[in-house]
Amino acid sequence: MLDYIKKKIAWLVLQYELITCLNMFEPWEQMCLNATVLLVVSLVSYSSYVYLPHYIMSLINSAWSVVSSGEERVEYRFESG
Amino acid sequence: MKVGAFREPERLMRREVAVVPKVTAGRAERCGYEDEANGTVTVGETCRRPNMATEGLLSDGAHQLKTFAVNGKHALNVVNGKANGVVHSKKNGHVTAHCNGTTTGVPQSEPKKKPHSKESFEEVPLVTAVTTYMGFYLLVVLGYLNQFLFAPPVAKERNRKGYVPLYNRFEQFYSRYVYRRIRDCWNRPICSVPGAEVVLKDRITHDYGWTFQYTGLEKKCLNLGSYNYLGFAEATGQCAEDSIQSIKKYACALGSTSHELGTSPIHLELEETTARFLGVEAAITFGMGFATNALNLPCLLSPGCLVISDEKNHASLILGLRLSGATTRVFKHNNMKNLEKVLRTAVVQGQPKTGAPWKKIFIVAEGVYSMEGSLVHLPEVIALKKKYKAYLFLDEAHSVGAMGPRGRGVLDYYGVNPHDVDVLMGTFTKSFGSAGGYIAGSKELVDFLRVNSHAACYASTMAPPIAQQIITSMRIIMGEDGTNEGQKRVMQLARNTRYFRRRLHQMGVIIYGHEDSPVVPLLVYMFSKIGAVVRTLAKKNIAAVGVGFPATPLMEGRIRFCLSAAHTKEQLDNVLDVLEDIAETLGLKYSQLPRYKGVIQYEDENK
Repeated sequence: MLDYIKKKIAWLVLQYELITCLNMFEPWEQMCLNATVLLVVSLVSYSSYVYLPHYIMSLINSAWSVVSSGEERVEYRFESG
Repeated sequence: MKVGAFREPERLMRREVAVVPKVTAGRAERCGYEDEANGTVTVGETCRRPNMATEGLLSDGAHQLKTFAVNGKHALNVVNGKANGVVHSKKNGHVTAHCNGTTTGVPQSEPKKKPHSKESFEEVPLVTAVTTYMGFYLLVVLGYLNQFLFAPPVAKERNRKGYVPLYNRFEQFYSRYVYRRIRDCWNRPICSVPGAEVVLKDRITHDYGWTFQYTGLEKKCLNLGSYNYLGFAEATGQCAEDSIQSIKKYACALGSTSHELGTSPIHLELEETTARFLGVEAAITFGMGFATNALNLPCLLSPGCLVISDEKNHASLILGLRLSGATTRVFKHNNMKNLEKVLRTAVVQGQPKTGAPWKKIFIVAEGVYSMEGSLVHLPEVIALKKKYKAYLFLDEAHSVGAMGPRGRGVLDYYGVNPHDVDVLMGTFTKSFGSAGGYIAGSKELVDFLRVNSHAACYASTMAPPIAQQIITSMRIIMGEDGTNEGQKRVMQLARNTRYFRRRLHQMGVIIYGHEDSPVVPLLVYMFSKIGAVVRTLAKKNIAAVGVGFPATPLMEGRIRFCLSAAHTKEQLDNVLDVLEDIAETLGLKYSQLPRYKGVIQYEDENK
């Protein structure tokens, strides 16, 4: 199992290297590229950690209010009919 | 499904739906069939065709590629040099079959008949396209950063203040900061005959490709990079012996042009043999294949002439056309509809501004396209040429010797009369294991070129041993040496080609081109993958050639395998096993076409 995961990770790393052409660059260029990618990933994950829960909550709330108000209206119509 | 078939025939499909609105009985099959002759759509029988084709596929493994290699752009009606005479399939152009909601490209011919198309140009998956471009942009951005930070270690011109740069800036940047990074995959020095196997000289770089040092080691590799189609690149054997004899008889080189002192009996013999080999009246030979195109086209063409050229034509043809000053229009690769459209427009509209008729119209095409591995659709091109009274220039550089049941090129493959092609050009560099080029055709044409060609007038003639190599190898192919050695080689190449291509297709990688073409481009798309594949192959003692921009479109990096009659099945199996491994690890299995599940057999020698 561990072996399988190791292989899988090695394969993913290889794919990353191929897609970014990492195997063609000189070491300092590789460092630049990796640093940029790391920076972007970390910023994205940090911002999603900080802002996303709040944002999603507000999104769910607003959606819920739309849905529930729609239901209410239906009920209201039923009552009136 | 991304198959070329679905790009083009929208018009036809719409029409077919309009004519036959409900053919959706049972399994939602909509397969129309347009008859070129009367424009009607026949449905009914055709609706069962996808299934029948599948049955045919399952029952007959040998035909799997034929059945699945979907082109759709165009269909070949001619197989094994004989027209099958089906009127329906003159030009089908559209191959549509919708089965159970999924689109599956299946040729429309009945499976027992020869299928239309054996050519495949699968489209690139979107994800791969995006990642390829991303990789390229990264290379360019980091390249410019590198160039900005560190001065490139190259010679610089001094005292050029105020001058514009003499060299193309972007090309320079490209070769220094993109190509240089994988430069170790190209221009490998060799130190043996490039036959079935080749000895590579080992070299290393300490500064990321700027310079190389030899380690003194040598490595024997299986050679899949040489255009040694018939395996005549040999250091021993009849060809080598005859060549050595010819040095004793005629000396190493004549050092003069054919107009002056450069013509010896061996050259006349070579020209006569070439003409006989091709089945035409006469031929003229030159010492350099590239110059044969680049310098002879300007003799035949002048401003006021129109050239209709395939978009994938070789650089030598393009250079020749530019030198001639003729107007050039390009048609889509192997797309006969587009060719006809361009031809018709040209004939109707005449020259721009004046509207005067063109002096002459030339169609320029190649036999086997070296980067695409595809074959010219010769019978259709000839039909168009006759219809519009245009001339045809056919470059058989890669096909002569390598194609056809008798090894006489695409003419032989399609069973076309050599007199239907006005100018036959070819090179001796590939199948004959020699050097130089020829132009063959009517005696009038050859005499005209003999007098007017710059290549005949200013270039040194071919060296006698080189000429002798061609003569002997041609005689062997023609069977004039009294053995069936040549025929054996031609058959071996055909078997190798089909086996190799089918196995690759089964593997799930994307390969371009025609089923019978010995040039097999394996699409890897990304720059990094070109380097990675070539290096890995070299590590496993296989020498192959990577091709990238600018030789191909930016996105379509590929590895090109050139098969040879010198390869044995065991060698090919070895390569295929290694490739299977590489395709798995590097992720080359892009193909979305259905694959054949059974075991692919290497054809019998007698077949």
